[in-house]
Amino acid sequence: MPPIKPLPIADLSMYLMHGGPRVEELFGGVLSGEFVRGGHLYNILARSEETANLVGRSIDPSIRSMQGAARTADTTGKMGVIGHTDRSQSENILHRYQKSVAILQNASAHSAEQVTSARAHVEKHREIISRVHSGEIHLTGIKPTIAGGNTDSYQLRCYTFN
Amino acid sequence: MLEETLTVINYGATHLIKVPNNLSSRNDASGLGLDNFNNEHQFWGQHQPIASVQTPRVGMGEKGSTNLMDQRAALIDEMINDANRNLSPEEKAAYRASQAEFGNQITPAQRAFIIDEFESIASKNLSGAKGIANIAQDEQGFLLSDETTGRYKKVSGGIDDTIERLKTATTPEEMIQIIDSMTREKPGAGARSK
Repeated sequence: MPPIKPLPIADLSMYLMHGGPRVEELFGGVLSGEFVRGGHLYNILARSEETANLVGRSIDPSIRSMQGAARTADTTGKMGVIGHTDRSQSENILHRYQKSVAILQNASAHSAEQVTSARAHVEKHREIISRVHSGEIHLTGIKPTIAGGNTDSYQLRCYTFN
Repeated sequence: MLEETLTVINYGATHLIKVPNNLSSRNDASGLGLDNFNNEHQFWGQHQPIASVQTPRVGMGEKGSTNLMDQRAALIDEMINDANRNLSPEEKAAYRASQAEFGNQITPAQRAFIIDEFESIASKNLSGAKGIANIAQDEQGFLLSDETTGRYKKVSGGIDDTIERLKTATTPEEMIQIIDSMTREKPGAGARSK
């Protein structure tokens, strides 16, 4: 029987990516405590081309996943995942809201858990939903910057292990 | 339609933060039929980003930029590096021992990232609402695409089995073989030609 390989696996569960103000606009260098919803696990934002690169970029740039990324990027690499995470948050909230309202309006047909969840969603997002209904685009509490800013080059660093 | 999906609203920046598990909670979308949207986390308190990238200058109605994805990929680099740097002494020792004994070439954070990505994508529910299912299908296409035929493949084996095997792979090539071995072409799937 081959020996069991003790190959350690790190815990990435604490890492989140979150949209927010530019670094120079962070008050005190931190994301505000009021900035509390819409944090995504890193891997949600790691979709599309990054996903195609995930193995290639993470362990070896020569493998075929990189080729796969290059091949598919022109057709689906710019798919709506960005829209899902960025652009369509308002729609997402409204969609949930509508689902929730439908559940609450017909509560007897749903489980207690579903009703509780629906009620919690409506309560939690009441203000946001109101803003969305008024036409405001909601992006995790930060008014989107339509234009301006800069695209500072970002230097990729090699993976390190110290 | 394509132009629309390319639209990106500029956040300003994307930040990588590290939120202790006891300060975050996963949104509960149970019963709402939105499993694929069950990905939001609430978190409390102020958090100093580990790293940040400015999002590109792309606005509503403008054509999107892959720079956004490149920059977010950079945050993944930062995440993996940070996780590796912050391994416990015991974990570091275990990694070094696995290098010496088994020729392990994959750092603990890299392994975690790949396994998590595979699990997340491969287990996506493709039977949800049309738009959501399409997104999931595209995501899987990236991971499981077949470079020879241009078709994407579907996981045919057990995801759990694949993950267990990924846990014990020691080289990048071995990881690729494992993922490849667990996929097959989806019958009748549309070709994703170049």
